[in-house]
Amino acid sequence: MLFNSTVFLLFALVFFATWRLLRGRKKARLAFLIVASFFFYGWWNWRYVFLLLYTGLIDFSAGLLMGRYPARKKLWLVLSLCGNVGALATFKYLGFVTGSVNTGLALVGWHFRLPVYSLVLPVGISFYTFESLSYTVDIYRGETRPTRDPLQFFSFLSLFPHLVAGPIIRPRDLMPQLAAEANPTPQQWWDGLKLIAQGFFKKMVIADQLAWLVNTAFADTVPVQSAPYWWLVTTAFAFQIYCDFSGYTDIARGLAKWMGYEFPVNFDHPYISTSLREFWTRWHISLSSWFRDYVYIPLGGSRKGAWAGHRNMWLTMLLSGLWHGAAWHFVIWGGLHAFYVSSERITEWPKRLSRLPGGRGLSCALVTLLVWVGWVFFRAQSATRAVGLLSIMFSPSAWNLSALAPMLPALPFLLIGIVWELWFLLGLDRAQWAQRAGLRLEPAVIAALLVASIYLRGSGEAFIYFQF
Amino acid sequence: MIQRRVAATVVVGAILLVIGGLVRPRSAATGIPQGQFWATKLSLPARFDVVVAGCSRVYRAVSPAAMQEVLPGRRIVNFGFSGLAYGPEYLAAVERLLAPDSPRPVVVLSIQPVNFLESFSRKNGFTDERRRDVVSRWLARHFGTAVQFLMPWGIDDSRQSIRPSGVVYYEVYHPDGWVASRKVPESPGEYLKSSAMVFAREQVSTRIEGELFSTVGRWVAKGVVVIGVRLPTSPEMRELEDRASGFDESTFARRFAKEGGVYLSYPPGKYHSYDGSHLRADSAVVFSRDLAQAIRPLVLRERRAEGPGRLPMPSGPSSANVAS
Repeated sequence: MLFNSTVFLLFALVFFATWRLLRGRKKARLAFLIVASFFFYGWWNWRYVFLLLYTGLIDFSAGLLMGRYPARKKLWLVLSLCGNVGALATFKYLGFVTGSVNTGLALVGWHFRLPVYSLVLPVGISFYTFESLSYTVDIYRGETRPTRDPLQFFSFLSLFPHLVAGPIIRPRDLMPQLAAEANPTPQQWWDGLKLIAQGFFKKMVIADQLAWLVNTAFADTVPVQSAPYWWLVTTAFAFQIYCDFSGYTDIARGLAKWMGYEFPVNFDHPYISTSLREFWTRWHISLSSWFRDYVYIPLGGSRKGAWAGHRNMWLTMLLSGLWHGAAWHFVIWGGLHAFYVSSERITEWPKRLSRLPGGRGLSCALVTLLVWVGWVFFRAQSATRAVGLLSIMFSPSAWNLSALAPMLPALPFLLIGIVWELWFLLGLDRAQWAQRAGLRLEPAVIAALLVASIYLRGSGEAFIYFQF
Repeated sequence: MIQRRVAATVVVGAILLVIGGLVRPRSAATGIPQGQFWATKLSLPARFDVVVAGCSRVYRAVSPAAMQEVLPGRRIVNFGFSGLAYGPEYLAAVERLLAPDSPRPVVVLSIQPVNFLESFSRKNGFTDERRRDVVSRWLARHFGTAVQFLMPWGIDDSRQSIRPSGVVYYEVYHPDGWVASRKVPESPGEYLKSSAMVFAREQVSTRIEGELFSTVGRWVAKGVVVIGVRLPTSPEMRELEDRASGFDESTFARRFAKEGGVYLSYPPGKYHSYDGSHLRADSAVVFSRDLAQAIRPLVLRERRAEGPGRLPMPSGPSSANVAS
């Protein structure tokens, strides 16, 4: 079920009315939450509810067994990892792996071919698998106690606002909230409304209005030979994916607040970053921190010297790329960011640049440029195509402006996104006058954002991160 | 304090909502609300004798009401969708519209190169409408005017209201599936460039053609009269399609007829197109009557075991049939 659909509005209406009615009946509330969340998930394809159930049962059982037989907890962890990663590998990576093996064999002259299966990717499998995994890993590490309450565990796993596109929430953050009676305070209600209005505006107005421009540009098999055109398309995609995903997170956080729960911040104005390291502390924070805590640090982090630190960071980034999609262009995107961060660690260019007058702005511009180059690999359908597009973008002979005319209708929406980020880059959000005015005008702004989401909405695309 | 803020938000929101709906840039579309038009098409019952299927050229060129003047008593519907290429789901939906008690079920299929493009088969007006959630479709069908009030402002409409370009696209959405269309001033070359770009990157798919042929054969075996119609368009568009799309009309017509279908090809230029592709409303009415006249001998015969390849030839446009 999509947040930006009429059926979800109806679902939310029934859900929150019932949620309120079940006040004071914790068990009943959690049971209702699980049923509603499974319904939410099954609306897309009811068969995959069983996959969610399978993942949950594996980790709930592994948790119980680790608690009961601590001497064998490594065995239970390995079984849990095999179950989870096995499901993810089957549905997400089987076709990619067999396809890549076949290509590799053909390159060395072998004509043996593995059968290539392409299964339908269950929505949100990468998100809930990671959440479920973190539960067993945390128990193994002694950071979380296993719950004996299946209602609590399945509420943690399936809680519908974050089920299909995050934020990826750790058990230690959510389990204690589920254990307590959740009753939203009036302030939580208001903050939830603000987040929901902001999320809908980002998704339905900015991201969806930019979507047609981006989709049209990338659909052409023969790319338009204009550098400004592709820079504009890439900028549009950068804001489309940002507003799409952070909009989803905002709505998810708002809905959670209406239930009385708190989700962590997932995006913190990534495009005002002045270094790539900073970018990764602002972009998809819950995933970056998941990879840091469950991959990078267990590999040794940077504790074993600088080069080991680089190696571990590269592995983490490449895996992060692969997490986004089973295709080489995603791996290259991860590798490119690893290269950026490595270069940054070695040269410390952001620190040096920031000492110059206007250095912060220059750093921000340079980070933006590097991130944009990365987005070309992320969005292009293949690495070859991405290289082709980048060669147009950096070609001095391709500077013709004639191709820009059809893009004009999308420009106002792109400008809103850019101004929004500049507002924070310049620190205007912290100015006293802005805070005072913001407080006074809040109701009107929220109302305007919601109404704009109705009248200025775009084509009603699915959320981009659903495919991951 | 929070309650007052929520109340203020609701009041301001309601005012903005009403203002937004009232000051919406007016489009020149009339008739039933567009959302209702498409949602209704998708939920039509199985009660028709003649189903006319295909892309936008069909829903702009074929008026069931005008056809009924020539085919009185026959229940006719226009089941055209934008950018349509034939796929199994669409063809199954077409078949479902035929009334089980029809004395002579007839399917009229538009045959244009775009109806056989892979990219169009993956995404078109029909697939988009099917993807809409059931609640939205239900609301569009039963509360069409309210849904229309809350429709997004089109970028073109907004631009028109700020700085009118002088181009007005008049459309009338009819409950029988026809959209009477005309543009002032007309732009005869409008679709030529985009069509040339489409055919430069994609040629007609023999897979889609093959699937259509097997469906035609299956329908004919069931006693359905299947008529393929190459719709009239501008001479320039026809020339482009014949040259650049990879569509071989004579081979197609032969295969179509071999499966038991009747193939009609209307020469370009006889009817008036306002944009180089679609027929103007007045021409559409004339064409609909002509089409009805051409297929009349087929439609008015009672259902009987003629078997594939035994259908009588209509007179009028150039046609092909195994019997000929």
